[in-house]
Amino acid sequence: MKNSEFLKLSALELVEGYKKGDFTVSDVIETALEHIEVNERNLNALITPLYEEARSRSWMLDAALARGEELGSLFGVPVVVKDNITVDGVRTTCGSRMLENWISPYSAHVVECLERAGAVIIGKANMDEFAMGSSTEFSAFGPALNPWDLSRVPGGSSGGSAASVAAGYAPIALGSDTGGSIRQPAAFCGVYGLKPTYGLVSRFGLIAFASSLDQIGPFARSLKDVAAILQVISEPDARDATCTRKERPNYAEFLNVTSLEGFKVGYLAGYESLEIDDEIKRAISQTIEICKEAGAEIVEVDLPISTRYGLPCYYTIAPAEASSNLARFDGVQYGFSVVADDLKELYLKSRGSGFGPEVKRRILIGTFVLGSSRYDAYYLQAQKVRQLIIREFNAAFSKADVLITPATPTLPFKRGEKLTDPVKAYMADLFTIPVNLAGLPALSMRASMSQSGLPVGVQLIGKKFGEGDILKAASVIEQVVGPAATALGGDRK
Amino acid sequence: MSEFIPVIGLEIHVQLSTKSKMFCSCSTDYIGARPNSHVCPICLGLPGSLPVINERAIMYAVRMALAMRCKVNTHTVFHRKHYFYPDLPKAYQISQYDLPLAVDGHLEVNDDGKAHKIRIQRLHLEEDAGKLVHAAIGGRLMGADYSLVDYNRSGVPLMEIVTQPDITSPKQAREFVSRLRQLVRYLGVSDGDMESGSLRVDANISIMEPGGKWGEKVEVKNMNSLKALERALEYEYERQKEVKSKGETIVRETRHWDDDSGKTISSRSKEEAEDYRYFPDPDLPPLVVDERTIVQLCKELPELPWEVRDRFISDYGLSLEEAEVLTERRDVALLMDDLVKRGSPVKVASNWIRTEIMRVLNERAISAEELTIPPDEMALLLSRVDRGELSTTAAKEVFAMMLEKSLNVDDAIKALGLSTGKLTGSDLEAIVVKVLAENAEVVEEIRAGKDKKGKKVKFLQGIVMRETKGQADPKEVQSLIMSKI
Amino acid sequence: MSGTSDGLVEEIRRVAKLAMLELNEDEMKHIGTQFKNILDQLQKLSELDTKDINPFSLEDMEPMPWRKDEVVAWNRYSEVLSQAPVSEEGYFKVPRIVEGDHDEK
Ligand SMILES: [Zn+2]
Repeated sequence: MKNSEFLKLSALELVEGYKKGDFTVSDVIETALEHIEVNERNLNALITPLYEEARSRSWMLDAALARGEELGSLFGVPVVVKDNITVDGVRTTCGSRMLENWISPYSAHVVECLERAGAVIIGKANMDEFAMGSSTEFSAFGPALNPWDLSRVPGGSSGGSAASVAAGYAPIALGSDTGGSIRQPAAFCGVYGLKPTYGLVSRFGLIAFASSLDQIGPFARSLKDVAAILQVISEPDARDATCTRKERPNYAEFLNVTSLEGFKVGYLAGYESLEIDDEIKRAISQTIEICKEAGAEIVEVDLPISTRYGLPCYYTIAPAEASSNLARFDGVQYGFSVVADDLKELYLKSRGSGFGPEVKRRILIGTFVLGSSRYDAYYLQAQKVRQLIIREFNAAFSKADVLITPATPTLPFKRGEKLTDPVKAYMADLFTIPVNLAGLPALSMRASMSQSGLPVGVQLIGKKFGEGDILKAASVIEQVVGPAATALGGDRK
Repeated sequence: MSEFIPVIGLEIHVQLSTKSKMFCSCSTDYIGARPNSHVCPICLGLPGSLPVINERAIMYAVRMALAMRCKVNTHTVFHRKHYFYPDLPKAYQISQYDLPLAVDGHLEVNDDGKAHKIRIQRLHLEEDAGKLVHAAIGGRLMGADYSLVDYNRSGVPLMEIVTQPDITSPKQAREFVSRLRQLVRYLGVSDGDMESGSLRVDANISIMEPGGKWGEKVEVKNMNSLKALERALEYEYERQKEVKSKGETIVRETRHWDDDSGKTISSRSKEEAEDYRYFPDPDLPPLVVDERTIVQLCKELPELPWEVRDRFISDYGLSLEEAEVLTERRDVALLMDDLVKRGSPVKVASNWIRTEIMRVLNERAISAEELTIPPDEMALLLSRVDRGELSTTAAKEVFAMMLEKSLNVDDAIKALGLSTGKLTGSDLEAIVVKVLAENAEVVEEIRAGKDKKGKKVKFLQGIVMRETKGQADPKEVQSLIMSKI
Repeated sequence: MSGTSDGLVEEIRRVAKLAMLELNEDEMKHIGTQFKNILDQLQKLSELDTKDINPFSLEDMEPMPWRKDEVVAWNRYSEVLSQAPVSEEGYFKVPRIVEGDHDEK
């Protein structure tokens, strides 16, 4: 096998290869690191590549392999981790100048899980500052690019993670999703991106954007990898009070289905007339057709409140929580800090210069809606609307096991296109946001390629803790459209 | 000016004596520790950290709520209270807002012998802030070039108790806090120490005009002792009356008590009330304390101080004053019960605890359980005093000896050279004869019938007892004297 | 929200002060227009009738888990202090506090 072939293998294929002695961990890691070094000049998918750390860990793992130790389920698998997830001893920037030099003294729960499973963290992924954005252009470390077309954005805020997986840096990556930050970049980069049910994966060590919406989830190029990494990171954690104590199923068991007999797939009534790209509409109807062929019953569902009020509801609640979560960055204990004559100046200037424009905008909105005189009209009303959205989804899931919707209204847009008008930029999250408000799981996957050679994604939404249902439907679709491809240098247009 | 009545409400913060902090596993034992050493990502508010609540903090707060007859809410919510200050590492404090753990209770205070009910508005849980050290003379904020921050205290569990404005005098405010402190100590939920800041009191005081109109309320802070609390409120009451009498208006503001000058000083009043932007903490699901837990905690409540006091009065026949002193501390009240159970007569036990034993406990700053004399020996000593086998004076010496040398009663008596047996029969008779001879005039007067009240016989009896170092039975002495006369 | 742009600027200033964010004139102008547009969007929520809705419904929510009161010391504290912008003798150091910034606790 040529070394460059490693880059196209899935995580589980790598583990198999190590077990059979086809190649070593250091072979794979070395190849990945070289590939990263060459491609980062263009892509900028990583804020911090971890060359040294990954190398020494690969030697350690090879030694374990030689000793015949029992191997973890992600043994020797290179993983990219979004830079809002802490790794002990590694800087965690959140894509912000505010944390440019902050070294985390502890690891996130998901990172501990990955390391226990034998994974090798090879880099910290680029992202929109504090996960606020849909293009990774709001990173203080420069924009990341879409590996399928360098003139386009990879989506965001987990754009660096999605681009890394699409570009073959690693077969799997972690991102976080508050309003679509995993699913939208997954769609733009043509890979799988799963946002688990709120509470399935511990948020301990995830630098909070909006605590009631944030959830860590995986990117991968195959569904088997999605299931494998979900199994690893969804380990229960007592350090996150919102993390469920429910038992986790064996996710891989949902994958080997060929029939959707007795399964109900819902689609959004009137999606044909929505303002979305025609190629996305076509992908939706093709996907529904695949499910129907496999024996699923196709039903129409209505989500009028979610579609119409999801955005304003989200853009009230998320900034409110963000304004609170980001209050701690004040220049006293860690992070960006200016020299000031008095305390107030320290606060105003450190925060004024440490945060970028989008973050400041959202902090201001959030501070406004939480103000004692605005609270009832804005924040409380949004929380009530959120309850209506939950009810609406409950009704939809009384009719269907999974829903198929667009992941995004458009194909990957050009760089700079959405930077000027925030309200327009927020529209990119139209279909993903209600899912976070309702705390549901959803997977975004590539359904086809556009005529222009760009990935076209669709979204599969499940009921609470219905990850299995999603994997089942997705597995049937994957069998027809094939797993996600890598956009290595040669495949790029 | 006596027509102005003070209207006082208190806001009390009590540090709970849990081992670990409210939302993390750091130790709460920070006094004397090096700065910023009892910290972790959670209580430092490091990015990505999350809070998980301490079970014991909930139990302690519910215990306190039940003792004050509050209604405990089974479903409550934690809110975030936002403000920027260096002692607050997340720039918000996790606290409770419109759904506190408990509401609507009361605590009774004794004001000049009259019981007075102070209503409790609410009781809630929150986390403590860190500590600032100001780099200026006396550690004051004013004039300091910079300040230093220590987060060891950050995240220590606090219970906030808010009263209704039912308190009508500074003395009553003091009495209330002292009652509350007694209660937290009885329940074992806090050491209740004001000096070290385990118990912090803020007071709201306004004055009510003759017509029943309430004035603007002023918040007074920084009282570090019961005495300071009473003095600050007295000062503030006088100040407000004076402002009124000049025809000026009282400003709604926060004032700081300065113990040295004995004055309250205005903090610069703000143009507008601070906007804390409260909202439910999304990191913490609702707190559910189910009925069963509440009933269980209610059953496990110890006998409360006023219950013990009333029992001492009814069962032991003690006076209110005696009972108050004996029940001030739970360890002392328990000792009283213990001694009586082991055969000490009530009166002697009460007298001895209130004088000798309390003196030793206070001098050594120890609890009754730490007393080196085993309760059985203590009870034996007191019984001998009661039976007249030892005079009070001798018993005190024995007590001191037992304490110093960890001896039992008999060995202590031996060590002091006091005979263990009773002085009686011919030995005693010889002493009586000697005393009567030495006091022939008194004997004559008694014979002449000049001792109607029996005082003179008592006088002689006293001398004999002294001569015998208290080892004779006073009754036997008395009958011997009578027979000789 | 008052419709006049003066009122809006005033409001943004107040909010920025509360959020401790320094905004330069450029940012003020820029954020000003966007702020209005965003708030207009958010106000759409008032179209919905929500008077019987409990905003924090506890339905199918797992209650808060409790932690045992056990001490686990964290021994990495010096690493935190070493990253402090300014520290002195084991303390974090902040510049002069002007009185009235916040009441002493
Ligand atoms: Zn801690």
